[in-house]
Amino acid sequence: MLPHERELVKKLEGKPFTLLGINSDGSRSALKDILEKEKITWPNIQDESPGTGPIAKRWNVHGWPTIYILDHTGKIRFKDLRDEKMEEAVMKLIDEISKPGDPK
Amino acid sequence: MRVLRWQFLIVCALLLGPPARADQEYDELLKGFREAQQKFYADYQKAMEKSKNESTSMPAFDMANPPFMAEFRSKFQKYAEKMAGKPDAIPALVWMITSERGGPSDKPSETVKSALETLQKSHLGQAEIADSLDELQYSFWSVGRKPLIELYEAIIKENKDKAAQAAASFNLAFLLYSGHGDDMPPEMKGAAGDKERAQELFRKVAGEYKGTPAAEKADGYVYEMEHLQIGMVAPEFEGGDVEGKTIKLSQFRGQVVVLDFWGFW
Repeated sequence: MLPHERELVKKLEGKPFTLLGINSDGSRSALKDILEKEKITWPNIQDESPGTGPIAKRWNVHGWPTIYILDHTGKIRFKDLRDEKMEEAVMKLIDEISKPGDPK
Repeated sequence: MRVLRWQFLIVCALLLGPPARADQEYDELLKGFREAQQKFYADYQKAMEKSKNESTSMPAFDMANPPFMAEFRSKFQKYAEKMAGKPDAIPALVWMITSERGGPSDKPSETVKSALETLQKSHLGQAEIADSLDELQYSFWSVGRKPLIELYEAIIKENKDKAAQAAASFNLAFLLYSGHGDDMPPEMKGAAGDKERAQELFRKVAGEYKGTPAAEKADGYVYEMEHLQIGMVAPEFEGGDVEGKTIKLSQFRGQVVVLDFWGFW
């Protein structure tokens, strides 16, 4: 997951794309250490711990990682795609921005 | 990646673990089991390091069917027989079902079949069954959907206890809903109409059984089915980053967004 995510973020620099992490590692300081150690540069929200984090709870997340992919209008378009499949989906959605009128 | 996802679910199921029991003999049994389990994996780790450091061959470890499992299956079975007919037998019978590993499989083993039959025959109406059903939530992966659906339906029909009905209804809804993931292998696929039935059951549990633990969980699935499906606009949320600065989902509108719920803990 992480190596591929790092690559994807680098590859899509300057494109209309954001990887937004919702992290369940318990505290801001714990997350800070991980971000530095793992060279994670994309935005991350610290969402407490599994079972208490309000965002993960509202989104009914019971397994980590859980992935949602949203298009530029904010619509949920894919769930739980990882690595190459995630990249394919993201590319497709970025293409849609410049080619409006696509179905869905 | 399907495999990975299920590994996470199974890890979650293992972390949930069986709840604490008042009965001392059962506690001892469970404690003995956990110690045997820890020892087996610790020995395995040690052997692995030893063979790596000394470049010797690794001794045989039956990971799929560790010897301590057979030993404890018979111990839990004996306990269930001793408590036959009493609610005390329920956690031991449920343990026997959850002890089944591997999958996806739709063929329950003889041990599982006999435990399911005993639950059906002697424990359907007992209120205490509510406390043990949570542990069965992910067992369909190794024992199949059908026997569990039958068990939950029978409890809903026969049990007068509100918490037991709520727990059985939640588990049934979860099972029906899980059969509809795109990543489900054929033997785990649900039937047409299961998803709608699941939604109806989640709503019922969240509404009619308010105040039970099952209702709170069902509420999460009702929300997921109503707001978090493909094609729906993602609901807004906000939270603080490492510096405490607020990040809102809507600030990324106009961009493709991957939401990654993650953690190392």
